[in-house]
Amino acid sequence: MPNIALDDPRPLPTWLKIGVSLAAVLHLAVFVCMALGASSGTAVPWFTPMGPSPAEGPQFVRPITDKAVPYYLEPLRMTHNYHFLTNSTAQPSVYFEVHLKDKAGQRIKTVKFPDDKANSWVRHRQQLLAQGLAGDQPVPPPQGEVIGAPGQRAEMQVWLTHEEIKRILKTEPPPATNDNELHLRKVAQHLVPRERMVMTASDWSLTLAKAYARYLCKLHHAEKAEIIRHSREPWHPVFLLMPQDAPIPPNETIICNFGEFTRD
Amino acid sequence: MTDRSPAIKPTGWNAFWFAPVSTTVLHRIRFLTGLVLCGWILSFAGNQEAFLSLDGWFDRTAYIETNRPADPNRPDAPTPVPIGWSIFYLAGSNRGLFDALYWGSLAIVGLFTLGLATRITGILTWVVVVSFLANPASSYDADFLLGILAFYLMIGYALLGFWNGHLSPLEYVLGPNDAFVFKRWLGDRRAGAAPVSYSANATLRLVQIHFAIIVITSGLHKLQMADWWAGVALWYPLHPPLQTTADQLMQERGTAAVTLWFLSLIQYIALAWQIAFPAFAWRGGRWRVVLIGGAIVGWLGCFFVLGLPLFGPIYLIGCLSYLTADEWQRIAGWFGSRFGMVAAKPARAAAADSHKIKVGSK
Repeated sequence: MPNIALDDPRPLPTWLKIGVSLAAVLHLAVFVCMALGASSGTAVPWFTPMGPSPAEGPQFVRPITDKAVPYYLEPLRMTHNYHFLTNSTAQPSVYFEVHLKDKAGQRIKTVKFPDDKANSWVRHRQQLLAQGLAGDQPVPPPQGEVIGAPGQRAEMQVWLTHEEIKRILKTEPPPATNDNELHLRKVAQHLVPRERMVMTASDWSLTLAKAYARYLCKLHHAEKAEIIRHSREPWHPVFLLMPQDAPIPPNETIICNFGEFTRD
Repeated sequence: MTDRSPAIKPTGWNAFWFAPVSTTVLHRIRFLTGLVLCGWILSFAGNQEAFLSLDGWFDRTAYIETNRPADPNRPDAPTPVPIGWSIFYLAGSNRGLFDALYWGSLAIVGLFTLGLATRITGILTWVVVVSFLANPASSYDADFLLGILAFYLMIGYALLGFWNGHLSPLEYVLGPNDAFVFKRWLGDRRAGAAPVSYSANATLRLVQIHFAIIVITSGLHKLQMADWWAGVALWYPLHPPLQTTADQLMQERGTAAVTLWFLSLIQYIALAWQIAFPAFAWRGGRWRVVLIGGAIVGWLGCFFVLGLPLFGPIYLIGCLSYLTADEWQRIAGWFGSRFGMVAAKPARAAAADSHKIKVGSK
């Protein structure tokens, strides 16, 4: 039987070395460009004259990443830019409850995620899902009057309090379970409250919420699922450095009701 | 023995990329990566359908919604996470087929870990890993790093031994036999004599450089955040908002200065390790303590402080890829003497490792 251990490899020809070198340099350069071209300020937005905002990466890498991502990196599943979300450690704690309902709207079951009874691996994945629902985004203050297309109102979906639902939408809000409860509602852009920082759910969190509601409805033979997120912002270490008897302001749990989603 | 006297010592670029090295390091990186992959796949067991199928947490409708471009002016803009094909989509709603694919995936990765038919199982392992990454509902940062390791190992094992031209026909198809973990136990006469390979070197160099890019990018990303500059980034995971109360914080005030001093120091050391990583990763001697010690401490920190189970092992594997065959041999010897294990015979190729080998005509 031939023995590769007892023989040195033949020397590589120059053309092969040049080819491999070029391939390696180009391959690795793409990842450097991806890392450089990542948006910054996505976890904590930069302050700009237009309000808090993330910033794009440098333009010189754009032609490379624009071509490399769809034709090279996506097929290889290597589109991560190594700006890890977990680098931002000041994350809110999140869990969510899902009220599963039958056709008549009667609650048939309530499930909580992360599930305290699940094993640690599953709970970790459930925690990631819960964090995915927490990606709220601030609604920038209006820069002027927005006029919708003919026959259409310029609307946006924002988190509203019970009082705001009554005042702005002139409708009766659902029964409150907590003073801090917010509901996701569509409102005309000019009616978005300006006296406080208004937030909206990200498209991604809505996609996750709807998908998970469909999954749970099928699993538990329910017709509708109401998703309610509970979150609490992180405490800040500055509270530790205050005088010994200085009070610490309360850090309330914020309850956000995504509303009801159907199984189909 | 081959006469190496007329050999020419490669230098610079040639020595870095094109010096043949012992396959020992590649095999060990494969084995460790395989163990992590097996654990990772098993962590989905019992809930595999919820995590991975098109009827699971992230269903067919969600995929269609997500694949719509977020920005209509840039239809080719990437989605927030990589989304695409997966072998699990082949099962559709057929639960039996889905389970067969899941357990078959574990078997494939297990074979690759053991070093059986690595040319084939290496490619299949990458396919499996990529398929597991397709569900974005619960994918997190470290998952994507596994895809990188699987990709380079696939390349390395797909090419391993081809240039030497001394493989049996079966080995040309399935991959060299020497990759098998238990080959020594089967009494093979070649046991202990590790062959040298160009592809092993190129693969490890790609892993090393890619890993360095990841480490330094992650370090620089942290500097975009005020909490890392202020030295309080590690304070937050130690005080989870839902479990921490105002009373607890008031009680901690007495020792706050000391706590924050230590946390900020540890955090700045971690940042320095990441940002200076390329400066010491390729250095031998005592710098290896910084490299491997940092990875082990980082693993413990990721697990116990940040609650991230996967980053630690992947970072350690990344750091271990910088060790030469000689250094692996010394580690094996150290473990052998401590725990009464039989250390591997010194690989002939250890002497032929990266910068020491003489490459030339036979």
